[in-house]
Amino acid sequence: MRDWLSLVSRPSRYIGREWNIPAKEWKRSEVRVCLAYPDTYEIGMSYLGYKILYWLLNGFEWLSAERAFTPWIDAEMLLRSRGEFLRSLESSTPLKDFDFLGVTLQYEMNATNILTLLDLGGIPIRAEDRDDDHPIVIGGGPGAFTAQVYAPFFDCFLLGDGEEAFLELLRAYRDWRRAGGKRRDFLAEAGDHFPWLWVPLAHGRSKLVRRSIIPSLDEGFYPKVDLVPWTEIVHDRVSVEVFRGCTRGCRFCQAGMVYRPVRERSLDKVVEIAKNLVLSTGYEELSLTSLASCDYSMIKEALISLRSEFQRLGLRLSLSLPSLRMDTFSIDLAEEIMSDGRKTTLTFAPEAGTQRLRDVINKNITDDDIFKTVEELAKRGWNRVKLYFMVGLPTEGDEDISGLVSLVKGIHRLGKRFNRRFSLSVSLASFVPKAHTPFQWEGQLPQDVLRERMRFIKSSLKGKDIEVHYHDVDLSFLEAVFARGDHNLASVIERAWRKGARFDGWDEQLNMRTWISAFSEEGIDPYYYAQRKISYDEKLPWDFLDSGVDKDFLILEHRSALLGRASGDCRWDSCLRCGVCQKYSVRNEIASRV
Amino acid sequence: MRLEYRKLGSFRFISHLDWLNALKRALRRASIPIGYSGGFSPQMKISLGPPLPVGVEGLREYVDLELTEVRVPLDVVHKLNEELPPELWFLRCESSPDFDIVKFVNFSIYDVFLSSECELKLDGVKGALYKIIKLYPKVYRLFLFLTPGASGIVKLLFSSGLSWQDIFLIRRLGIWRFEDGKILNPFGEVEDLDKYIDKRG
Repeated sequence: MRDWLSLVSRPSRYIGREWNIPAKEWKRSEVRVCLAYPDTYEIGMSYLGYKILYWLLNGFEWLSAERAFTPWIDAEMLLRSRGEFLRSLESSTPLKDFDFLGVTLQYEMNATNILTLLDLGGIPIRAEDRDDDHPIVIGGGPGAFTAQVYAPFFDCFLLGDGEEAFLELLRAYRDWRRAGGKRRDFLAEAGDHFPWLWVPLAHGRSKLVRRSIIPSLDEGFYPKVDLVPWTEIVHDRVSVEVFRGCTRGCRFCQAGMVYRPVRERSLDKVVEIAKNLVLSTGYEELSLTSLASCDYSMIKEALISLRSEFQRLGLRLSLSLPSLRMDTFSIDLAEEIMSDGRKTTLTFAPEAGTQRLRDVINKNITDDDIFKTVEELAKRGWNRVKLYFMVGLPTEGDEDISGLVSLVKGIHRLGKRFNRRFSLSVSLASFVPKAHTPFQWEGQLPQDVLRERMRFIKSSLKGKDIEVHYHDVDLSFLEAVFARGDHNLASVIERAWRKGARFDGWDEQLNMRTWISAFSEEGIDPYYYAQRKISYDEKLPWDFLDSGVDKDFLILEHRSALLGRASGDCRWDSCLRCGVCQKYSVRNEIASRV
Repeated sequence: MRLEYRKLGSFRFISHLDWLNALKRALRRASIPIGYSGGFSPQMKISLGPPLPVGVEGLREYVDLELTEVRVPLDVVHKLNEELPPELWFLRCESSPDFDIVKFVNFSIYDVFLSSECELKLDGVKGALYKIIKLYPKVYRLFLFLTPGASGIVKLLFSSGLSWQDIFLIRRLGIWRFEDGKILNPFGEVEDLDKYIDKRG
């Protein structure tokens, strides 16, 4: 029992012992892994990849995977003042005593929290200062595609799907250690052997790191149980991943580029997994997750079979879909999941206000789709719609901003005509150019321009019952700095962290002054990273991390964007030769076509 | 049905609302047939007794459940305990007496374990204090006329100048109704509190 729990906020995030926790002799495993999440418990426990790895690794006798999360600032201060290490939840082992520390890179602004995990766990924050007694610190997740930014803090990175590759790496480590090998040698050897592993100290940026891809989800691992936390977490439900990857081809979206191709799970498996999870956890809500679940080819069938299956079992269950497409099919789905007839909020992401700009970003919905959808949902009695837009998209002009305003006004008017209680909420975020996307050559607009455009939109929509929220522009600016960062930024992260930057992704925690002085003390110009346009022939800092998507394809897509030309989706239209399927001998796996 | 349970160890840090959700999930795992309310968002018919403040242990806490089928009380207890850790075990189950626990109880006993050797000053508790026993050098037992609100005991101790720095543990031994010189427990039975006074519980 930790005797400091009564002294900190939200102590229940530190107690562990969740229901279904595996009965393992944690300290006796031959290889001990700690999966560390660089954010709070509530956020980390909601993340699907983390769950998959946890249950996969714990299925092996010789292996154990425990968990740790970045403690909130008050708990960190308390641990420091007492000279205590950050420990794992399962066996209360200091992080420094594990064989591996796996850190998932989900979000740019978690960077300082990684350093807290390492330092508080008793591990030197820079890989070069670690020796044979320290854990191997491995990074994975989407952030591994810009691993060059975080390289000095990690011993290695795993690029792509983690489940099979990580296990393979751990097996190799076990065998290596049985043979009495040293950690440093193992890293260099593994980096030579595994194409998806990058060992910065051994290879620098000379190795072309390939991506690990699971060709089929059905044959891959998926947990039958889940931990049931004792406190409310962000996504407090069980989730079934219905597919991985997305080929819609939105040009701003990194996940839509680096996780290709689409790999759908079969309907039977979805239902079987859902049943296992709900029965073993007692959860009352189930989510079908993916990058765009309405695109799952068996989505309607899945909702219907899940409903009837749980009815047969006599269990109440609410289903949820994380995001909806703007078409009437999606409204049918929304009605399907509202088994109790409750019509609350529907969320859509048109992303841009004009047809022209939506063609630029390749968000393939038309004004007509939008208005038909709104009319239909208002007629059917939905009261509340939430819309997501991005501001500062490439080629965006004043007419796109005024177009956004009139689109929102039009939606509002139409909604009101068919449903008097109709109300709208609009959420604005700044465009962040991301590595590995067709927009990686674009810059982010200056903060004052972004603020001005958002303010204009907000004031133009004033007086109606339309709520307008916008994301912190400073935060989006920092995201943009790191999203296209290079190896020079690690020292800025370390400096900001030493100055007290923590949980920077939390609006109320972000201290811009800390970051600005960290940049200037390191002699780094953040505007150069966030705002500059890059030319095609410049070598990019992340070129050696190969998602499988050809750079030529990204250039082609960028050129089409500038011409306002939309591209198709290779699930339904012809192949666009992005390169992934050819390079990795994989293809879209569509459940309905089996 | 009215059930008695305990909430011990690190599980004392689970808030009232979080515990309610955890219990609902345990009930579903145990396949105990709980009734649901009607309306747009049907709710499980379950109501917890007076909340324990976060960080306070409870030896005898209560919850009312509405079952849709008749079940053997002991069976409900066993099934539920299979789905919960020993620190959150259920101890007893009876058909619900026809009174609301929260309105019924007006008396509670707490043990306060201090972290350091300091006299427990009780300015803030004076009005509610029925009796205080010093069990050990740093351990006090408080008998309080206290409608057990969400953070009642903690607030009282804090208003007496203590903070969590000074307190090692607070444990609620139980809640009762003190009426006409008699003590009734939440099952409506007369109880003798001597065991809490004579011996050390």
